Amino acid sequence: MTDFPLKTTDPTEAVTPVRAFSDRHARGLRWFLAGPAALVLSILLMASLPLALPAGRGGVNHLVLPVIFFPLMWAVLIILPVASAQLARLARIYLLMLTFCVLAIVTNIIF
Amino acid sequence: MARDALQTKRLIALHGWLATALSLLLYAVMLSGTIVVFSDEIGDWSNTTAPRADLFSHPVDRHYQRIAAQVPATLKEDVIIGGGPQGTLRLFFGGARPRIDGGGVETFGREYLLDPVNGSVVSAKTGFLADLSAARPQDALKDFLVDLHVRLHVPGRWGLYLTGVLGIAMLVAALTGVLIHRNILKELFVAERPGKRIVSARDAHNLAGVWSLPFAILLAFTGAFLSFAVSLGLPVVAMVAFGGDQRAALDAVIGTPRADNAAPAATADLDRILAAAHQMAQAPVAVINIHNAGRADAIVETFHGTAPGDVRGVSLEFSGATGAFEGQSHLVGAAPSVGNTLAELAAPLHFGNFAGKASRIVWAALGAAMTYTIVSGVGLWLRRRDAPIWSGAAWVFQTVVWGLPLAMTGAAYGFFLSQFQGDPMDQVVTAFLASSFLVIAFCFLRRSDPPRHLARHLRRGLGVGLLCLPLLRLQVGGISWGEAIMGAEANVIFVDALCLLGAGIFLAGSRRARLSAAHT
Repeated sequence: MTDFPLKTTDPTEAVTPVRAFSDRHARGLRWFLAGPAALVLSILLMASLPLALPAGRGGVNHLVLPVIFFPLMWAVLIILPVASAQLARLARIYLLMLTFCVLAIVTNIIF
Repeated sequence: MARDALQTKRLIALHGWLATALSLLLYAVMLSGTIVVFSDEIGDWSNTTAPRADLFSHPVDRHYQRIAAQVPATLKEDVIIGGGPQGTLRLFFGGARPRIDGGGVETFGREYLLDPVNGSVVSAKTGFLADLSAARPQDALKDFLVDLHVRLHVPGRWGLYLTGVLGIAMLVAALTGVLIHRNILKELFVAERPGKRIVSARDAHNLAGVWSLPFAILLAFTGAFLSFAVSLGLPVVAMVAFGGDQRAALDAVIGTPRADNAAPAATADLDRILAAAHQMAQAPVAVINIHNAGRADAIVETFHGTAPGDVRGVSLEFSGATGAFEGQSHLVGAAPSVGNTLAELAAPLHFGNFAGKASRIVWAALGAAMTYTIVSGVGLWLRRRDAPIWSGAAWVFQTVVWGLPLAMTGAAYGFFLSQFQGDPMDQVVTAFLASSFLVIAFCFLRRSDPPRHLARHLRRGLGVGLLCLPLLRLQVGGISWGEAIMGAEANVIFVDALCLLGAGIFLAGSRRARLSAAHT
């Protein structure tokens, strides 16, 4: 995966076809990560965290805490790609988290 | 461009576009939320002809025992005792039954409305609990405003998804606001620069936004949680952790079900339980719920209002067979936990009802500041854009900003006029739609006027509408201020005073705008 360093958008630099292409891709990737990827990942996190969190004294923390923090998780996952300068690294982190969540859910369903 | 500057630029773009794209819906939710902070008061104010008294100050056990003897055992899984319309005592006896239309299993049963003093039956109905509870003509105005805030009148889960997404949008806008305003402490004390320039509008927006930022984060977070918890969170958790069994998930979340003991047993004296519950909770009982009435494993649950010094009301459990105290029930789980505490705090922190009227007045004021932040933010966004499409958007925004409160006032008129003729639930909706149509038609006919002139006319209309509302309430038989003072009906005077205060503010604002226009 190609990284998109922000210095390519420096207006003092000449606009080359390569730079315009990478800017378009960076913008597209940013929209994808902050939009559908953030929504899917936050739902998957809410679904898989009950399998990883401790139940606690009342026996419900693992079920309730992911639901309570779902709005915060979603909001943070929206803001991160917009604020981040290292888009490619963030995309890899999102993909890794997505893989872990899907694996946890599939493993739980199968076994 | 420096990296920090680019990052800030992107955050401002997210902050602005997100808030602008959803501005009309966000405004509707925020404005209605600011008003329904006083939903209890509005309920009492709009239902002023009904005698009100503490329902459980009269003995209820003999009424309950008499009606329970006439009800089959299958309808005693869930018994609810609380207040009904026109000061009646409401008894509902029900059990689970599938809906014929395939709507799943719901509580079905009989509803009795009794005179709380002598126990005579005022009315008796049969049906699903959800349908019987929804048909409350005396609360039509309050329910209309609450439903506007909770789900924007979009039916089913979709309304909750919509308001949940709006909560997330508000949360993102607030969090990006924190990131954008690097000198947040300094901006708390930056006064609006004089003149009607863009910088003045930006200062006003920043000032309102920065002061209400913590509150915006709190409200958006708790609001999104309340919208998504049951509509999305529970089904998702049930699907993964309980193989799709929502009933099992609900049992785990609500608490471990008690062992069945279906042996018949008489229900303990409810009046004795009520007295004990009142003393323990230090707050009057609002509703009683009896699970498995008439059995040895029956549980009587009492729900209380907020006691002085507490953040939220409690609910207590008593054995239905012996009347012995069993413990405090929790919103989530059978024992105290971090998850339960956080879930229980969400509602009082969102509604601001943790310290009586004082906290709700503060919440309404902060809600008004947030509403102003949305309006000023979108106004700022539109002023910076010259394209014709944005001037059309400015017209639409101006129409909605003033048209929505006017239509809500129109709904209140419809409710009071329904006292003469018609069903209040239909009349409220009809009056809201008719008022909306009139405002849109007026704004369309005056579309060549500058937006500030349009706003001035609508503001004056709103002021006059609010001014006449208490008069109409009196005219249709509502209690007078004197009767309210004698009968300790403070809520009636409170909402009337709010209407008059709003009328004063809007009429004065309209007059100031007219004088200012005359000078220029």
